[in-house]
Amino acid sequence: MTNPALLKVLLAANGVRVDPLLRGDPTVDRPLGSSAATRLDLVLPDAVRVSAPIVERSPFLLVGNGRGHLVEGETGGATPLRVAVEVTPLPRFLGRRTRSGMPMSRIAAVRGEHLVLSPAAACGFSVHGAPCRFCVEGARSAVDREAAAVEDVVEVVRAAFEERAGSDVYFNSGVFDAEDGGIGFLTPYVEAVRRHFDTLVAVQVHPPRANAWIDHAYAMGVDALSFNLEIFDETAFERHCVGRARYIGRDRYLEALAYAARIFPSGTVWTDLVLGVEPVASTLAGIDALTALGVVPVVSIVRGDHALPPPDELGPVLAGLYRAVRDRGIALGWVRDLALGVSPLEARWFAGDGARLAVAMQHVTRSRLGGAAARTLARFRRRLRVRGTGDPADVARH
Amino acid sequence: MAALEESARGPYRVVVDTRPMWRILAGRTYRPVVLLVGVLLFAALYGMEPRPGLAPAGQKALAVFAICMVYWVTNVVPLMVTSILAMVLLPLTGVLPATETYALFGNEAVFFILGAFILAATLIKCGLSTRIAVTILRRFGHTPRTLLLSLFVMNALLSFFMSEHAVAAMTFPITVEIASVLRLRRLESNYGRALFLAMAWGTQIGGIATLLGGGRAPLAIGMLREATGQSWSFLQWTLAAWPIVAILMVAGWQVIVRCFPIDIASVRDADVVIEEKALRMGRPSVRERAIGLIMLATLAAWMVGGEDFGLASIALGAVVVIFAFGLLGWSDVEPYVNWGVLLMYGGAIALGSAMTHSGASRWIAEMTVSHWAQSPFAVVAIISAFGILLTEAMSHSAVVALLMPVALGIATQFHIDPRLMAPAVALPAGLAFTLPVGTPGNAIAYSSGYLRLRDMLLPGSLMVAIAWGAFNLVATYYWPLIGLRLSAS
Repeated sequence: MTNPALLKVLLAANGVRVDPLLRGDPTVDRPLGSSAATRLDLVLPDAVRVSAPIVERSPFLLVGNGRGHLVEGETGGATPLRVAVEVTPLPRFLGRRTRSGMPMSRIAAVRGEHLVLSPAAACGFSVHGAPCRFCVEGARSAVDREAAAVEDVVEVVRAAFEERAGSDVYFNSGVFDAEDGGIGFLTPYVEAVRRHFDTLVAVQVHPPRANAWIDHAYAMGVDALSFNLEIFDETAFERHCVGRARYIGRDRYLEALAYAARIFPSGTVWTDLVLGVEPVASTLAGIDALTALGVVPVVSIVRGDHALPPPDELGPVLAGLYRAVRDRGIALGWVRDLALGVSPLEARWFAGDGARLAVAMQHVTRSRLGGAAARTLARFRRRLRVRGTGDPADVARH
Repeated sequence: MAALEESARGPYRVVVDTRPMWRILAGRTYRPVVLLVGVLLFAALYGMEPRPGLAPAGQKALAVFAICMVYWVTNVVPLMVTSILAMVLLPLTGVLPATETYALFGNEAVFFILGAFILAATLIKCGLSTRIAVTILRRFGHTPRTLLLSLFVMNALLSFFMSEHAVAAMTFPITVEIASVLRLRRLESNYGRALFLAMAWGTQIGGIATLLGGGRAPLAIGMLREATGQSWSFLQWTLAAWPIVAILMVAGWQVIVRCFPIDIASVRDADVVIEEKALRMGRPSVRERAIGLIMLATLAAWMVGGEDFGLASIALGAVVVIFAFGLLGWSDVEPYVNWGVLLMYGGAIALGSAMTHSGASRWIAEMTVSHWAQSPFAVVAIISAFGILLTEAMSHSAVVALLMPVALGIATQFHIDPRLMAPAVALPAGLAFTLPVGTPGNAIAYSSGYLRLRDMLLPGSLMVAIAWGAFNLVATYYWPLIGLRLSAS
């Protein structure tokens, strides 16, 4: 298979079996009972990353060959699949606890270069009994825990960065039932991370009621922002994303995304569109509508009752994703290394386009020097663009 | 806890500039670039061998003038700070000794302006200026046409005796109230546009009539006195300026009513408001009467004894009398005294004096206007054209500070009476009709929301042309009648 993005989609949707011979392999073994035990983070050819669920039944099998690992499987092609992959070992810090006694794995996970932090108690929609119908993780989240302390989060980030596990921070907020859509909740965490570390910060929140919170997010140091719409079709949205439809509404998602795309740099505002829950034509319409707003759509894959579209429909959707973002002149390189989502740049494999410039730029920004340059540029841009409106304290804060 | 505090406080009060980065960068780097250009220009001229025909002191004065010119024109630092820079650089570069530089700050013009500020504050604070405005409107403003004309004339009249900016600020609320009770629609009502243009133009035209309408004329006279020892009396200035004021009042009225034909039938609602204001004011208080008497006496003294006693002495004498009778407290006056403007004038006068005495202004004149102008009439035409155009984008006083030294240099070269250069610079420099940035009066009128930019641009451009023509006609044909001759006899 020469299309690593297709393999990503298939692995994310079907999961992977692990060869029993790999028991005892330190890169593959996961501590029992932890959430990390259910997944394997794999690096596919061309540095495409996927978080594949570990399952009992799947067409794909992870095997060892003495030097590394391979994914084998049947994909319906002439020859059986046999692709060399890299298994990302579980970072050691995830086995540690913070000084307050909180397991670090309860706050953090590592997905590629992203250190994913979830300081909130749980998905707010789940707490209110209205999770998205296709959602597996949110629906299972514990609701009886308190939000992590800022000091704990800083400790976790320090531990991760010392281990070089992730270079960017990605905050997830489960809070939605507030004026600020969770941005206010994340503010002290983001401020603390910016104060202590030189890193890019992405946040995934819900649309706030007032756009001033989006300005606030940019001013406080957020470099990339996501409001996850999940489904574009209005009827399917109301049926599947019960909490989103009831408490926020599809129109507000689109308004907030459009506004954020004007505030944040090109290519740094994104939203997921779940594949298979709505008709393919609707996903394509969503891709067109979102890119017209300057928003980067990400096609995400969920396991469960919703089957992937057939290959003859899947390819055009993902090719359309790449072309729509490219044709609108939206930066392709910022949204990357998503565990369960296909980014527009990964989708180039379906469009048969090398996207050499964008790929080269992404290589540059992945390098240590390029990363430092990107962070400096982001800071400089923010300093130039953000102005206080009267309160000197506000100006001094960023 | 921090999270809760932030959340409770609401979002940061910030604005995110979404313009393209190159535009933001250009905007942000403008100031340091201009500051650097000024410094480099200064350093280059300072380090250069003196130009032929220019003494070393003149070359250094030229360097100081160059950096001040860049900063005055671009306004990258407040005008008064540029003046302070001039006062710092003149002794540092050796153009003038420190004692002489700072002594120039004590110029009579500066103290005259200080006195005028305090007297204007007195008029506003005791309510006499508002009473005059309301009385004029109540007496004459019963039809749309007469109300508009009364407003126009009233603003001009008040600007004869007070700073035109103060008059605009004072009459603006009355004008807004009139527009509001007449239910004039913003940006649509011709009458609304006409009212606010009448307010802005009235103050400007009236502001050039006497030495009290603004700081330009005293500044020009101060620079003239420091350079040549000559001066203007209050009456002489008014005598020289009144025909221009008369022409512009007639022209301004015609332009307003022709560009914005009156589109309402009655101003009865406005009558009610004006009547209410008059009733609320009641009879003039003893304080108002006393201040009115002192103002009249001061005016008379300026006209009769201005030359003998000095305009500043009379103004400050009136101030002392007001305070001696307890008609006003110092705290009443302080908010109305623009100390920054006084600093600006002090520095500009010192720089102008240094330019003249070092020969730098003459040298500039030889290098510039002398090449273009062949006669005294052409000189005045060019100087007044520069003044009237620059003042559309620059502070009136900055235009005077910039042009006056050059104009005095040209006067020597063309054997023009240097006294003529004071009105030749100061009168056109007070007439900014087209842009909101030209003068605070325009900005105040524009801020009403009744005027679009094009409502000011098109009629304003016409007025600029008329004003320039009127000035030159008056300078050529009228001034000789009162003993002011352009050409050397």
